[in-house]
Amino acid sequence: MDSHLSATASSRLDLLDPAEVARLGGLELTTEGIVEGFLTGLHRSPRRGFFIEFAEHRMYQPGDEPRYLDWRLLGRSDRLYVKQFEEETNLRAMLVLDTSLSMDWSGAPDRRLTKLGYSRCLLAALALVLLRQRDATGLITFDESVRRIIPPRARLTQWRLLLRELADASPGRGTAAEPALRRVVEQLRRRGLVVFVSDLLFDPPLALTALKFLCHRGHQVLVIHLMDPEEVELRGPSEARYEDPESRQSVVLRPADWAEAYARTVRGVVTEWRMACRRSGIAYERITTDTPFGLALRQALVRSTRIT
Amino acid sequence: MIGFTAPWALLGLAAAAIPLLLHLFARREPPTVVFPATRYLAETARVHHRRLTFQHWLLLLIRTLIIALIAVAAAGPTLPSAAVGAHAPAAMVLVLDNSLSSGATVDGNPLLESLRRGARAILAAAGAEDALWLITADGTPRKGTAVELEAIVGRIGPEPRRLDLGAAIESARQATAGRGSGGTTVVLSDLQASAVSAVPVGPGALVVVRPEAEPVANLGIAGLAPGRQPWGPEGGRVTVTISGAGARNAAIGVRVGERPPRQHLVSAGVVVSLPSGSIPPGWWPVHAELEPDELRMDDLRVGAVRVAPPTRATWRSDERFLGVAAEVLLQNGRLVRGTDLTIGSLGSGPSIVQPPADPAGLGALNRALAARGAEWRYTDLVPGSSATDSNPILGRHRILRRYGLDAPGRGSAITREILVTADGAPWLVRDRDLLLLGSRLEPDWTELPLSAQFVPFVDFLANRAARGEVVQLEAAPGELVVLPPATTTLVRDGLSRPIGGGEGFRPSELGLAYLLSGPDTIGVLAVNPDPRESEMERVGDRTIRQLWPGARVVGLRDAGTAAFAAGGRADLRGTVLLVVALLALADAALAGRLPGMQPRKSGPAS
Repeated sequence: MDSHLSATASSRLDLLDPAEVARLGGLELTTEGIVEGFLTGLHRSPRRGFFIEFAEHRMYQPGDEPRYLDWRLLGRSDRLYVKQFEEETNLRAMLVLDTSLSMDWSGAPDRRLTKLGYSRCLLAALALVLLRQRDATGLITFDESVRRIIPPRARLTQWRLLLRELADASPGRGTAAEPALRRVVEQLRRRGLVVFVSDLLFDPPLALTALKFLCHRGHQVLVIHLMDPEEVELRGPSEARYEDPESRQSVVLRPADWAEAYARTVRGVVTEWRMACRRSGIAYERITTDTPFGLALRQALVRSTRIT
Repeated sequence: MIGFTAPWALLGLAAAAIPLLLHLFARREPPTVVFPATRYLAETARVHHRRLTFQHWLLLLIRTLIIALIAVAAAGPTLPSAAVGAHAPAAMVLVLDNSLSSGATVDGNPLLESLRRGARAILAAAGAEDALWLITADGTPRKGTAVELEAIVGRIGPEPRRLDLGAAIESARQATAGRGSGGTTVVLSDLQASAVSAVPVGPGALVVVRPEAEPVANLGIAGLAPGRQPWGPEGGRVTVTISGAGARNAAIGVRVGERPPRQHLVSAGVVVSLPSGSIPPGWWPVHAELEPDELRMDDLRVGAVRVAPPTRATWRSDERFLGVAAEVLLQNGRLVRGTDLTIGSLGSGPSIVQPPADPAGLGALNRALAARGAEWRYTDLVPGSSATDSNPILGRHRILRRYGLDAPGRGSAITREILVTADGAPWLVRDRDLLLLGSRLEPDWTELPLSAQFVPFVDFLANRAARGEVVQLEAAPGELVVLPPATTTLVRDGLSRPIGGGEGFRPSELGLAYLLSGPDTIGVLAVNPDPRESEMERVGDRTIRQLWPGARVVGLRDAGTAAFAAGGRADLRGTVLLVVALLALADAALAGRLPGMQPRKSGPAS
């Protein structure tokens, strides 16, 4: 499986380093390249195979759910195949993007995209995948307030509209997720998919309440917790004053002394989010900004279907 | 008590403050890093702050201790220890008592030989890093290696000196002063009670090695007194004092000059007075000799007598005070009438000259002195009263009137002729065969004639000063004696050596030495053993510990092992360095637990 992945990596943007992909061109071109590569890996559509009617078999790909493996075929042919299913109905999806100041940060600006930059590519790719399947797709951006709402549409021009909006999204000062999530209800009159992309650097209770409310309304909700690798593992000079760009809260410490404890804290936060989401039937996926877009897309889409 | 072989290295303890100083003063405002997840950091700091703070202070303490202990190890810490295999580099002084008493023969073997064996055993146990000194009977510390000192130990023999062990211990402590907790002093001695003087508590260890054999019974000659001198031709008596212990009797023989010895049977503590018989005028040696015993060096004692007839003098009987004094001496056989000496005025021969009562006669007297070839002159009457300066010849007496005395052209040599001074100025001087007094010996001039010292003073003038000074000095080897100012030559065993009068002199050998002033014999120096060396009584261990607090007393057999063990300093450097290593391990372990000590990766962008 690893040899197959490495053999195709050179021609597939979805598996390249996100920063390298971003340097190849504009958001439109790179996103199309990502989606092309991604769909090539899937043969047809990510949504095929995750819904009701069986359609066909395909070769196992890294990231596929083991539960879709055809064990009988494996026993007969000693080859790994997964079963794919045909979807029945079109989907209405709403992408919710956090554009707060904390998202406009990279631990290594010369080597990695900011969280906001990564989100732009990821959501653009996701929207393209959805729109190609004629799924109505919309977008809400927010910082300390809701900035922009694009209602879900299935038209081909929708993607360019979304693309422009994503490209123009500028970072705001604070983070207020709950109002944005409330606005989703207005846009999705019937059951649909909500993809919430944020670094979750805010107080969880209100946002969780809003997310639970969306679930309660019958929507599939996927929380993509976006983190920079530097936020996962603390590094830095011998001693530094660490300052939150939004709240201006600061802490003076030696990162070397605190890295291990910090890592435990981060793991605790992630676990809390994961458990809280699981309890409410919300799909949760933590993605770091050095994850290839193809893998991130796969994780996001697989996670969003597993909860159905 | 802990000690140090190189205490100056303790200055390095100041370096122990470096971690703390760095902690306190090397702080600065750190760079600001924009970090969105600061809320996680704040939460982490809130939860783990106390534990990490404790670990940091513990780490600081450990590192401070490591530096401090390294400084301590460099200073060479030592601890007292009763039994140590490998001793720490030590400073040790061996006091080897080769005084006269060490020459005693015990059970057929010289006592010094057994002490020497003990010293060799100690030197054999010394290491290359040990600082060693040797003090023998001369009391001088000699520094050297074990090999060098062993050579000295092999060379030395019993010396006719007395060694004060208390003083020797003080010298030893001075030699090792500044060596951390002090060195070790090892005393190898026969521990004569008379040689053990008290020593205050001092630094360092003190080991006393005592001989195992009992002290011998000894008889020695403690004193030899030829009596009042000069003797007349009829001779005199020699008084001999016997010291020692035991009930043994021994024969003593006393010989004066060439006369056959006088024999007598003596025992310890006896004082005998033996007549010499008639003897011609002159200087004669006196020998007193006991029959041999275990300690030979104190069996012989020497002295000298001067035999001379009473001075034949003339004086004016009408001299109220001087004449009376001469009559008294005449009646006691210290003077006879004759013309050899003129007392009170300038005669044709040797004279004791007073200044004239009438100042008008002073010029005539000075001219007469000049005609006699005298170099001293009377000068003007000195105004005011004064007093004689006390000296062995004359005590302090008030002088009411006096003439000055001067010897123009004599320079510094005149000091040898000045016998008595008054307020620093010459008052009684000798000029060849003349004695010149600055004052008349009358109450109007001086209070001396009214004092009890007057007649002995006149006796001194007539029988000693006018004949030339007779000095009887006695000293032990190594003892400081001050020779008479007029001394120019010292003659011993027929050999002459020039010597400065008035200077200190330390004789080294037993025997007689004659003191000459020019061609005249003015005295004798008898060098005899210190009589205390004949007392062989040994001091007990308890007394030793009372007089020398902290002393450890061991036998000769244990000298080699006990010296350094009682020196008692175990080398702690290894232990301290082991503790340093353990602390370093603890530091590494603790630092390893702290993420600060883990390998770092590239830092974040701000």
